[in-house]
Amino acid sequence: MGAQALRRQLSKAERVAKNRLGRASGAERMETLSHEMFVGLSYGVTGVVFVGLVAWVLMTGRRRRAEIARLEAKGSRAL
Amino acid sequence: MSDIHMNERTSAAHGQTLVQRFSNPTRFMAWSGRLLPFLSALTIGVIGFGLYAGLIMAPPDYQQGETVRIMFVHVPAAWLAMFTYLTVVVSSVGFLIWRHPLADVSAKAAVPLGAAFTFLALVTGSLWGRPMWGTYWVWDARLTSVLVLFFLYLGLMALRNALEDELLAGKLTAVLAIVGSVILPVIKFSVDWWSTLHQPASVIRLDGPTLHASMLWPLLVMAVGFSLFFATVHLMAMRNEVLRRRLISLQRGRARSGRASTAATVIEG
Amino acid sequence: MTAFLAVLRRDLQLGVREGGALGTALGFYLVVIAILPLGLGPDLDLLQRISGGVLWIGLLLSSLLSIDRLFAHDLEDGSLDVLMSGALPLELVVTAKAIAHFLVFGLPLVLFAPLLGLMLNFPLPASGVLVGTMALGAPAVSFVGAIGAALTLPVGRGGLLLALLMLPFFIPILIFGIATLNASLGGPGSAATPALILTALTLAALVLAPFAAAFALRVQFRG
Repeated sequence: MGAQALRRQLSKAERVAKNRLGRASGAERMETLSHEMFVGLSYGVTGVVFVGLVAWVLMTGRRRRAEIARLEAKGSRAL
Repeated sequence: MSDIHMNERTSAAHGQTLVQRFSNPTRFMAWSGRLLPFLSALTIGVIGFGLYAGLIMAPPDYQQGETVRIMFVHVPAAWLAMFTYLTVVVSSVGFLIWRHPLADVSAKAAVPLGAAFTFLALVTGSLWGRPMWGTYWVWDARLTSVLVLFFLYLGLMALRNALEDELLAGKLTAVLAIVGSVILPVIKFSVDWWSTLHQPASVIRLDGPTLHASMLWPLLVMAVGFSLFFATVHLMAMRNEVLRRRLISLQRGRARSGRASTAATVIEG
Repeated sequence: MTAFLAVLRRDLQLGVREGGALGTALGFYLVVIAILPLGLGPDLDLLQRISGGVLWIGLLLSSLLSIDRLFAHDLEDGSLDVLMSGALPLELVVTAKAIAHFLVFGLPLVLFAPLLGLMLNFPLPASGVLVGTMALGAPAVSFVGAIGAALTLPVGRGGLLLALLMLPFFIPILIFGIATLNASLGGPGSAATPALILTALTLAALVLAPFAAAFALRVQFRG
């Protein structure tokens, strides 16, 4: 049982070490990773701004239409 | 505002040209409302295809790697930033010469969109600059000119906000936009000249050498997509502005009828 | 011509009589320059390196601060109505007022610059060059600033707005003014090119800006 626990611990340590090695293997991989991050950020910001613009325009339009309908229901007419 | 309604009556009374017929506010609301669903669908389709082309089909650049994909949002944003300014200037000229309220509506609706595109061009430009130049911001001629354009958009919004009288605000903003269109090329020239004077040791230009065809066509698709997006949101924002003016007119009518209801019915009857 | 001179003389007299405004502009220029070493540290080499640019930027800011009242006085006392309906074309009225602004504010600020330069370790023998390049650019500041003054007239107290609108338009003047200064102080390149471009910019501003400013005024008062 002691031997088994030891083996388990060893293999775990091995996995962790492998992972670390894998992650640190060369600046190249880091580079591509961070490059993809910049690409993702660019598309992300663009997406947020586009969606934000559409949402803003849609909500304003809905609010104005509702307000106009409310006023017209009360019987007021344009000058 | 009341101009719009006056315009409706006069143009209904007289015969009118094609442009007048399209720019009459009531007609504008009708045709833009019919057009918008198609325009929106087309925009979504083209941008969707552009994303697929730019992110999946286009190969990574042999020099810049994956980073080159930022170009597909950065360059269209910069183009649209300039094209939107052109829209503002043309609308402003139209407003000052023909005094058509819809031209002012168009100018007013385009300015925030232009500011958004300019903002995107700046942000994606610095996100592209970080991996390429090692810094988020360089005083490169292109970035600097776009920054100045951003200031100009801010100025247009600030001036319109500062003026209470809407008609006056529209006219003065139009004058500022036209003055800006005269000075912008001079600023561009100065900044280019300045940046060759202070040329840093080595700068990879954002556009790089001549673009390979496999990069060019996704870029063009995205540019068409961004233009369609502008057209869609600009129309929507213009419709909102027409609605706002109708609303103000309604509120005024209400205020008046509240004060003297009998007089109001006489006027409107 | 006599009407033009009359407007010019009137604005000059008003400007001289209201010496306080010029004092404020000069004081502002002084404070802006004096606060810089406090922020950057007293390193004289560093200060000398940036002195040309800082003196130019200070000039732009202090001359902008003084121009927002260019038409405001005339609006308040009603003389703007008279000027607009007078025989003298509004473009020439604007030209006269901009020239007066340059003489009352621009020129003293330009002459003040070498003195402030002493605080930044700007070489005293180069004062002539500094004043010369600034004198080439400062009229353009008054003329382009007049457009801003006309645009922000209905806002009242629109100084900050005016700076936001107009500072980007001064970038060409700033770039070529400083380039001329640096080139004539032994920097790379010849001083003739930027000096000629600066002169061309100023002349273009003298010719075009009055039309824009007069147009902005007409739009406000004649629909």
